[in-house]
Amino acid sequence: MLLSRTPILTSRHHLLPKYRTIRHNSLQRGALEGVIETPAGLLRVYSLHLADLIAEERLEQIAALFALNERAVRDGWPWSGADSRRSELWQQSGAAPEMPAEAIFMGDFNLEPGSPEYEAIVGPKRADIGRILVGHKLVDAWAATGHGEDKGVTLYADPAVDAPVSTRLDYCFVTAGLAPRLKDCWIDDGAEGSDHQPVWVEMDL
Amino acid sequence: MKLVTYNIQYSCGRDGVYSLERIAESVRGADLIALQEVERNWIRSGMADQPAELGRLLPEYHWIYAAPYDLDASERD
Repeated sequence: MLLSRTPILTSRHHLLPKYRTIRHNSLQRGALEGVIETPAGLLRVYSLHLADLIAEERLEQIAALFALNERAVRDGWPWSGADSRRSELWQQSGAAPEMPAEAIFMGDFNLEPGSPEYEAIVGPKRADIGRILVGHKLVDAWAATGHGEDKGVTLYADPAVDAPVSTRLDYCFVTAGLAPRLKDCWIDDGAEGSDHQPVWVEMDL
Repeated sequence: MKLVTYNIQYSCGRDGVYSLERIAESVRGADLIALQEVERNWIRSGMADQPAELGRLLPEYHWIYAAPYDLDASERD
């Protein structure tokens, strides 16, 4: 679900790859896409939830997210072109605006910092120079605003349930072009409404 | 502009109490809110239409919702 103070101009739902598990419960996952208007222009935003069980499955889902991100401008909006015939049957007026190239991916990625899936999203790290920003990778808002990648907890271990360790699973990743706009990121440790914690980001938009 | 992402676990809190009001209070004030594990017509969450209820609790927001899958999903009058 996405909620926005400004109207959500268009939306669609992308279903992600799924493995058929035999014994353990595994669910179809998706990424909900919306385009919103901001003072800095149109923005493509996603709310998503990746698979919890299998790292390889998550890697396929991440590859699907990158593929749709790289196709976004080429593919355009969910509708495109101004239909001049029978226009009374269609709600759009005029041609669709250009799909914004920059995007924000928010959600429960079910992966830990330092994992192969995390590297697949944010790019490689070298001991002497740290994380290498690659133009077609995404930027972790938490790390980009001065927090250690391995710090922060968005899911606390509950001995009564199956979560073995407290860890950071919830993220806001942005395309490289939006990285300079990241101002702050914090985890609301006090929220008790769920087993996860809300992750907040402030951006200069 | 403030953004927030929150996996709400169908509104089931650490205390086992289901409360969408508590969820709404946690995210109110953001300009953009991304929620996960919001559901409709599940027994565990009282068959509630959670996206519609969150929309009512957060009337200052525009919202969209889609479930990646459903079970026993067909309807009949």
